[in-house]
Amino acid sequence: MRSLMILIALSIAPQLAAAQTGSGSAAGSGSAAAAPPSEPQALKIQPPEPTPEELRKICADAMNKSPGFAEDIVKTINEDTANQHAKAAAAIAKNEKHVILAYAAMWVIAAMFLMFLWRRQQGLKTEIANLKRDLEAAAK
Amino acid sequence: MNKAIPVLATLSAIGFAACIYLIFNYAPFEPALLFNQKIFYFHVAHAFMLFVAVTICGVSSLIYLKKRTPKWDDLALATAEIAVMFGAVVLVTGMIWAKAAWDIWWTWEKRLTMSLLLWLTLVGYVLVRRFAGASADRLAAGLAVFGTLGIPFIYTMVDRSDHHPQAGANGNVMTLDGPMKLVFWMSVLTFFLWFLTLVMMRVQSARAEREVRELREKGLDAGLFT
Amino acid sequence: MLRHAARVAWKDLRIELRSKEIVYTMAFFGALIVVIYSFAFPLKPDLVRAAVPGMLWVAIAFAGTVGLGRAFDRERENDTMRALLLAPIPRLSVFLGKAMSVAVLALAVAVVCAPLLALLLDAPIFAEPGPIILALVLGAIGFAIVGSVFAATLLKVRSRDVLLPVILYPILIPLFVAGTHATEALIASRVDFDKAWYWISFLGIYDAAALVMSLWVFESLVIE
Repeated sequence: MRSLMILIALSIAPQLAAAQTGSGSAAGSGSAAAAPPSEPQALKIQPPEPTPEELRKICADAMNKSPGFAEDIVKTINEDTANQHAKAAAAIAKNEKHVILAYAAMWVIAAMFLMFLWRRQQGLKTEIANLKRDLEAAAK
Repeated sequence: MNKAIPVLATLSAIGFAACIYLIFNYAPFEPALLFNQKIFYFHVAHAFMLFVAVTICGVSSLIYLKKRTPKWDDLALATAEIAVMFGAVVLVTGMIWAKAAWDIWWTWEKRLTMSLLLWLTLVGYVLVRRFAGASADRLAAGLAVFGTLGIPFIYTMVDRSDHHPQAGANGNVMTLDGPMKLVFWMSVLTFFLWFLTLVMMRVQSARAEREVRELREKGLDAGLFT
Repeated sequence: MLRHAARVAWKDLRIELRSKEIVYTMAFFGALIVVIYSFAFPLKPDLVRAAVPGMLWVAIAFAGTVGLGRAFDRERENDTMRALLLAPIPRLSVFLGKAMSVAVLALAVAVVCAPLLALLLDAPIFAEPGPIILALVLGAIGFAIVGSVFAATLLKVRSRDVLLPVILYPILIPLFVAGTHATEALIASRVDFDKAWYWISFLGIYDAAALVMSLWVFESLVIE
């Protein structure tokens, strides 16, 4: 049973690898995954993966063939970069806003505490004034 | 103590200015946490001061309970109120930072949870002081003592609770290096000076209030007032 | 000293057994809390079952506080506190005795709430009876110790009913959370004994620390 699993895994793995390179020949070997597990000989031999130079040649040929393809690519790259710049700027702006908010909160709370101290001070002054007044009234 | 207050206040003011300059011009930009990380410099400094205040309150309350000398009660009351203030700053800036960094207002993360629990205890202290009548000082002192005793328990409890996912790194203090470390400890020092200023002012105020109260009672006892 | 404490505790419990006022009302209150919980949470079995440990300990907290207040109110109403303090037994015995009786009351709440939770919410609370009973006992003891200190101090204060929870709950949070964790470890489908014993020993250490601190400051707190 375990060897069966290994065989099935071996048959699926190259297909995933082939799908990454984007070559059209991967579609053909998709049928191997649909093979029932009781037929281990449904393994197909995968075509060799194209080398990077061959891929570049394929890409360059495609680009040269259609006139607008190259411009499309450049435009997409530019748009992408612009979007990323905008997003980064927005993030920094948001961050700045939060930093300022946090510092402001600290100052507001500190100020509130100072107000609290001041109010107590005023209460104390009133207390002392009352005491003085009562003492003078009593001394008469 | 009278002379120390203006000195400390001036030093803290200078410290503030220096810190702001250093935070925004000297401390490097932290790539993972971005600009928000600047909040951390005084958020954590305030958290340190919260702990200092709570500990002083607890120890002072214990001494007051044992000795009943009023000056310890004044100190306990002062540090309690200041702890409430610093705690409020820690929680509010913590929430703002959480919103900026992870887009949530609150997370039951270790340090925030611990700060919240301590803050609640000290808020209770202040409430008890106000509303418990004649024996408020004893009761509040008891609360402070048991609350401070619970700090290691709260820490262990929060450390070991695997309920809530920890939302991201918070800039572990111990792994700071170079310029960030310098700015961080500068801000801790500044807020320590600020803390001392506030404590001294509040202690003076509490002492004055108590003396006025005692004077009035003395007058009443002597039959001076009608 | 422990003998005196036991005698004070026995006095309280005998009074209680005669009228059963506190224990009935506490137990019923605890049961009501459990029923309210059953309505408060959505009727998805896993969600509710996950909340069961917390429900148990919150019920103990609330009902326990109510009973604690009542137990000391009784002393105040009949002015027996002064008699107790004047008696030729060490003051600490009075404190320990009251704490013991409160612990028994808190355990009574647990005895009612835990089976009720097991029944109504289908939670296997007694899957591991030994550890969970130990956890409940330790929790009740810790609650009683801290509660008695402050209830005694609040005896003559006007707003004592609301101040008692305000003072007690911040102090008792580690206790309740530890109890919740221990219970959670013990009712899980795969019981986690390591975690359970960790939190039970946490409870034990908390109780010991609370006891030592209470013995140290009790007199300073209660005596004007």
